[in-house]
Parts: sequence; structure tokens; C-alpha cells
Amino acid sequence: MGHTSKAVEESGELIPDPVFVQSLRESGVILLTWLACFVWTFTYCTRYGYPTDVDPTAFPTVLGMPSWVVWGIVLPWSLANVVTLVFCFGFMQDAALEPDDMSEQASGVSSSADVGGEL
Amino acid sequence: MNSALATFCIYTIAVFGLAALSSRLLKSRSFLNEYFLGSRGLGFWALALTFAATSASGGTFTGYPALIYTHGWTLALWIASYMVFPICTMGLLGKRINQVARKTGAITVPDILRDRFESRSFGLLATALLIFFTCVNLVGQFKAGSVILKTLLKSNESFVWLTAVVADSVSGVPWLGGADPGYLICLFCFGVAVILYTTWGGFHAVVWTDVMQGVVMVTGVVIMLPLALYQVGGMQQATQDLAAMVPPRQAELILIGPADQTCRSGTWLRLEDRVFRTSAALDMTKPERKVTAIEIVDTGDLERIAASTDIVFSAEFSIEQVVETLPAAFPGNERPGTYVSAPGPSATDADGFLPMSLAFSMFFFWAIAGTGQPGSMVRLMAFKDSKTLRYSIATVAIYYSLIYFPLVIIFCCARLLLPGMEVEADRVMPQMAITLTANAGVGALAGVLVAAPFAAVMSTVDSFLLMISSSVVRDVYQRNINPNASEAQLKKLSYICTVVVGAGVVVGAINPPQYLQYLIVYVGSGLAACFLAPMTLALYWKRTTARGAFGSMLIGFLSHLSLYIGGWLQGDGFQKPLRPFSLDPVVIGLASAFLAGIVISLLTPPPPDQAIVEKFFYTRRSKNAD
Repeated sequence: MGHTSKAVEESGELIPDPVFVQSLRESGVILLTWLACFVWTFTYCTRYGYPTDVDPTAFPTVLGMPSWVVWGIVLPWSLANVVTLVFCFGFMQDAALEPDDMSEQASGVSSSADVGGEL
Repeated sequence: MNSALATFCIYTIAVFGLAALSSRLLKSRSFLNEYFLGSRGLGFWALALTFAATSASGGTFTGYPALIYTHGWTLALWIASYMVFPICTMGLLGKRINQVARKTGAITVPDILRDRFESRSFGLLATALLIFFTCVNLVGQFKAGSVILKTLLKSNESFVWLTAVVADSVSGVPWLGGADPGYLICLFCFGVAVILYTTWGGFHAVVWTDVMQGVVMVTGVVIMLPLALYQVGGMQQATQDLAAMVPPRQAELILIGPADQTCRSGTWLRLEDRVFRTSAALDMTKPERKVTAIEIVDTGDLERIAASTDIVFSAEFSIEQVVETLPAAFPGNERPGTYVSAPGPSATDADGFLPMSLAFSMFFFWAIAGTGQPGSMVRLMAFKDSKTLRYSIATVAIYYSLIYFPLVIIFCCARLLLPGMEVEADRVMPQMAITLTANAGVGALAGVLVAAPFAAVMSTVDSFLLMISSSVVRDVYQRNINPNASEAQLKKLSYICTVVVGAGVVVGAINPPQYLQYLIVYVGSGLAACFLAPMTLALYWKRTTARGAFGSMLIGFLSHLSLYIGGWLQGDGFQKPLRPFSLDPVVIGLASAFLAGIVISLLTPPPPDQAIVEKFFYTRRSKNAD
């Protein structure tokens, strides 16, 4: 952060939970990935995968598979795997998941076991 | 004992060995935390494979292959959103749910919701829905496990003898009498095995067996793929043959045969040069001698049947009259090409198997609805650290790519190797395993291949059994009835619960529904409609109120269920729910749940206890912050 003295001055100040903030940002990227895959696959497959007539003797294939499957599903699936690897090893951040105050965490039986608030 | 059965027995013994090891761990740690959550210490291999194996249920190796066999290449589009399944289902909630579970000491999904909103009634609603859906799913999973086991055992002499004994014993007994005796034996054996090792070893047993089962599953697929491609003459040949294929006709036949016998479902019959296979059993003692069947009309299939030594036409029964024979509802004109294109053939639906609107819903269903599965959420509560999560997402992405797409290829090939399996489509996976290995002269491998779907079923069943017992013990008993229960009491109750639930599901699975995959889809989408919106709002929106979350869950459940009830009232049965705007119930259920959660939260006063909001959404800046 580069503001050590200020941080010390503000010790005890409430800040948004970094895991919450990180997770929210990462969720946005994940949803965009889903959307991109959806648009590609759905657009291509509905355009080329629903023919009104098929000539069995001249059916288009790539690598022996129906071509609409290769371009509409196999290719985006492969790219989605690449994006997933980049996301996991290049974008997603590590974070301390244990609560700061260990007293908050009960071992096995929660301290809030007697919570009885109603709606 | 044949070699396939021997391989399979070794696998089962290994499962029990792992349960024994896990049981030793239980003795040295806090019981509840260890029994239900593995002390939150899962490493990345364990998390990746237990997550993958639990998600890949009996549906993956039973219902899904049945659908591929019946509808062809369109299933590649049906399953396409698995390309982003791992990143969505593990990444959207993973880190955050793990953190919140640690903060509250939560062991179950209802635990988190209850603590987040400080609402006992919300926790109980979540528990009730979780138990309802999970029990329904378990019925389907037990059926799948038993069907697989029966396929493996059916040629074993001892099993044949035992089947005859059981058939005599249960004949005329209500509930049991209508069931296939071989299936009953397998259901009993499967049920006892799973209940025993799950009860004995708890979460760690489940996770360790999941790891082994995960390896078995991918090994099975990797072995089957080249065998299938080789036996159909390669990918290009298979696609060409499928492109020329037309689906079977639906027929009604009147049979003649011995008056004291039953004509089994799956019996092959011939009338001159026409070939039929019955799709239901016919009791010849009854005056009505009409039975449903399929008529094989594809010339390629007819040639394969003529050349087959495995297909035997019935000598006892013959066709007196063909009452009716109709082409599939789609394509109505019996044109070729439907097995290699969307929407795929359908016997009952004039729009085909996968119309575009349903393709849209399925892309949404797998990846987004998959995020809302409590079984997956529990695993996300149990990993060790965020690095484990990152490595696991990457591993599961590769793992699923090796399973789900290759299965489409394998079972498109199955159409060319196993004609007429439409009448018992749920059995196509084990039958394919046996056929492939027998043709290749490596019968022993059948054990490994059949163990793959069996592993998928087991890994889901054990997780779900544990989830139900944790809900009863933790969410109902400890948190509502006896908060001061001793560890010994909780331990005893956990064991009893696992056994009782397992036994109840075995009874429920005696007469199960035919198409497993429809049941899996109903439960999967129902759980998502109930849990995804409240959990997402609980983790990511601090303005969410208890009433908002409660309303979200309830409306998600009711809107989803009402569409299934509507379909049933229209006479379409459980397989065809209502689809407003051509959208699947899961889309409607999720949209309703999110909308209800947001609107009700905004209409109700903000969360009264600021400390709760601070606990879940804020942290204190460290004194040593830099």
C-alpha cells in the first residue's frame, strides 16, 4: 500500500473483507467466461447444427466428427480449458481463509449453536 | 467366478480398506468436524477428485450414455456447458463459502445460512428441502448402482440360482413381487456395501474412495474410447453410418406363447423379415396380450442384427398381429441424419430431443445450476487453502474434458454395436463395457470398465448419505433439540441416521422410475432453484435480509415444483414439465428465486444486527498493515 504510517494510525479501522472483494471480482470474470462460451456455442450450433435436411453421403465432418460439433463445441471447450488454466494460475489470488480472531471459530460445534433468532 | 467379477470384487475390497483407514482417523479428532467435513483439510488432489466424482453421479455413466445412445450427437450440445463447469461451480462460490464456513464453524450448508441470517426457521427450511431432494436423488442412484451390478452378475451361475430362489420367495409379495428378482438382489448388496463403508468411515472414507473412484472413472473412459472407435471402423466411418441411420418405430404387438409364462421386456421377435423388440413385460396369464415394442427399420441395424451371435430371437413367443407401428415423433418422415445433427430424434416429441430453447436452458443448467448444488458446496467448505482451490479447478477442468466429451463419441459408437437398446437404454453403459472387452478378447477389463459407472454411483451416494445424516444430526438435533449433546450421543445418532436413511432409500428404490436421467435433472435443478440464490445473496450482498433469503428459497422451490406438477396434470408425466417461454424449469426457478430474494430484501428493513454484517463483509485493518 505504501502508506505504512497511515495504516498504523488507522489500526482497527473496518475495511471491506479482502476475500469478499477478491471473490466478487473473480466471479465477474467467471461469468464473462461463461457468457463468451455460451454466445459462441449457442450461436454456432443453432446456425449450423440444426440442418433442415441432411445428405448422408456428403455430411460435413472434421476429424471424423460432425463439423458443427468440432467448431461449435470442441474448439470453444479447448479454449475454455486454456482460459481456466490462465484464470487459476494467473488471475485468481491466494488469500488467508482462516478468520483473524480464532475465537470466532468453534471447533466442530459453533459458538452460535444456540442462535434462535426468528424471521 | 469370471475375471470381470474378480476385478470388480478387488475394487470393492479396496473401498472397504479405505473406509477402515478413515475410521482410525475418527478416533483421534473432533467427531462432528471430522466425520462430516474431514477437519477442513482437503488437499488439491482430494478436493479435485472428490468434487469431480461427486458431481459425476450415476447419471453420468447410466442416464447420460442412455440419452447419447437414444438421441445421438446432439448430446454434445446438451452437455456443452461442461466446458465452463469447473470454473463456474468451484470458482463462483468456493473461496468465499470456505471463508464464511470457517468464520462460523459451519459444518453443513443450512448451518451457514442459519448463522448468516440468525434464523432458526430458515435453517430448518433449508434442511427440509435438502433432505427431500437428496432422498429423491438417492433413489435414482441406488437404481443405477443395482442395474450396473446386475449386468455384471447376470451370467454368473450362483447369481442365476439365487435369482430363481428370490423369484420364488417374493412372488405375490406386495411391493417386492413386481420387481425383477435379480435387481432386488443387486439392490440389497449395493445398499449394504455403501451404507456400511459410509457409516464406518465418514467424510474421509467418502473422500478417499472418491479419489480412487475418480481415477477408476477416467481410466474406464480412456480405455473404452479407442476400443469403441476401433470396433466401429474409426470415427469417420462411425459418423457416416450414423448419418445414414433412421430411428426405430414405436409398435404395439399381440403375442402368442405359453399361457403360464411372462414375455420379458427386451425379447427379440421376428415376423417374416420384420424385427421387433419388446419394451415392456407381458404376463401371458392375463387376457390382454398386447405389448409395446420397437420395430427396427434401419437397414444397417437389420444387417448387424442378422450378423450378430448375441441376439437370439424368442422361440417361445411369436407375433400374432402387429396392431400399430408409428415412426418416431421426430423426424416424422424417417429421414436420415437425425443422429448426427440437432435436435436429435425423439420418439415422443415432435420438436425433437433438443430444440433450441432447451439447448439454451441446458447451457444455463449445467454450469450455473451446478453451482447451486449443496453436495458441491460442502466440498468447497472442506478444502485446506485457496491454493488448493486454484489447483483443483484446473485439475477438474482437464478431468471433465477427458470424460464428458469422449462419452458422446463412445455411445454414438454404441448405436452401431448394440442395436435395439432403446428398450433398456439405462443399461447401455455396462453392456457396452462387456461387449467392447469381449470383442477385443480382454474380458477381464470389463471389471474395470463396469467399475467406472459403479464408482460414479458410489461416490455420489456416499456423499449424499453423509449430507442427509449431517443435516439431521447437526441442523435438526444439535441446533434445535439438544444443543448440549455429548460427542458420544452425536456419534451414535450419526451412525444410526446414515443406516436408517440408507435403508429407507433401498426400500424406495425397489420400484424405481425408468429413466434415471430425468430424475437427476429434476433433483439437480430443484436444488439449484432452492439454494443458489439464497447462498449467493448471503455471501455477496450485505443488504440481504433473513426474510429475503427465506422467500428466495421458498419461491425458488415452489416455482420449480409447480412447473413439474403442471406437466404432470397435463398428462405428460414427470418427464415433461411445463416450459413457459420454452424455458426449462431451472431457468424459471432460479430467476424467480433471485428476483424474490432481491425484492423482498429491499422491501424489508435492513439487517438489524450490524455486527453480523461486519462479521461477514468487513475485517479490521491489521496494525502491521503495509
